[in-house]
Amino acid sequence: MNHLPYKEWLLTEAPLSAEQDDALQEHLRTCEACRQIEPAWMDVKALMQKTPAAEPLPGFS
Amino acid sequence: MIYLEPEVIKQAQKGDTEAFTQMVEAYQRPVFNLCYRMLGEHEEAEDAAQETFLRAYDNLKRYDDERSFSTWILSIAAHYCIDQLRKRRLTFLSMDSFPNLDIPDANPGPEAAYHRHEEQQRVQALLKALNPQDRGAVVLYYWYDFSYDEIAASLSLSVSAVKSRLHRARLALAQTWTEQEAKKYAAERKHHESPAL
Repeated sequence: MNHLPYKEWLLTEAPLSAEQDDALQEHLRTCEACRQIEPAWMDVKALMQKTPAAEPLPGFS
Repeated sequence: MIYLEPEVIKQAQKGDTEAFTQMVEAYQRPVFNLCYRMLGEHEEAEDAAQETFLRAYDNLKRYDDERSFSTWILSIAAHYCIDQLRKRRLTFLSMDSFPNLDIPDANPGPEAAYHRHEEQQRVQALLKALNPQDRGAVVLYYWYDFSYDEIAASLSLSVSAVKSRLHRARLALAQTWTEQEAKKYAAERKHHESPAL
């Protein structure tokens, strides 16, 4: 099965057009591999967003 | 992102050490965080941040004030860290040899500190699945809100290369996450299934 452009659409930060979104949802109904990517990427992104910036120890500068 | 008065940078370019100190104080946290995300180890990140400021000091006269100062200094840090990661590979200190992370926490309750530490470890374990330049692109995009153009300028890549590296990195991160979750699930299952006798 050709997973392009679906992987691209699953992982893009840009909004999808209505047509792209429809095509993606259709693909996800039949593709287990792509269906796993979306929640995994959402979890990774949520983790990165909630992980604060690391800071140097006091007295660093 | 930090904003530093252009006048301070101009003074530092003229050799004013007080202005340079002000610059270091303003940028030490973002520079350190970038180095830490890239290298995954506290002490090494501090050394890299110090090296970044030394290089900035040596090259300050070449800084073009038409360009964002944040982009310029983070670019120095990113290049330095990418070089360090490449050297690690050459000396066979593989990415798998990431040391344990030790993030200081200003006011840790034991449980909160434990969770924060776990999260930091998890993030670093994910980032180390990426090659140095992909890692740099992810860190600049997700921790610094850099645009594609800014990442391209910082990492000496084309904008299309940045986009394709970010796409590849997101896919790798999602796949690594799925593998980690599967391992975690298998370990928990094994633990619960261990015979009582």
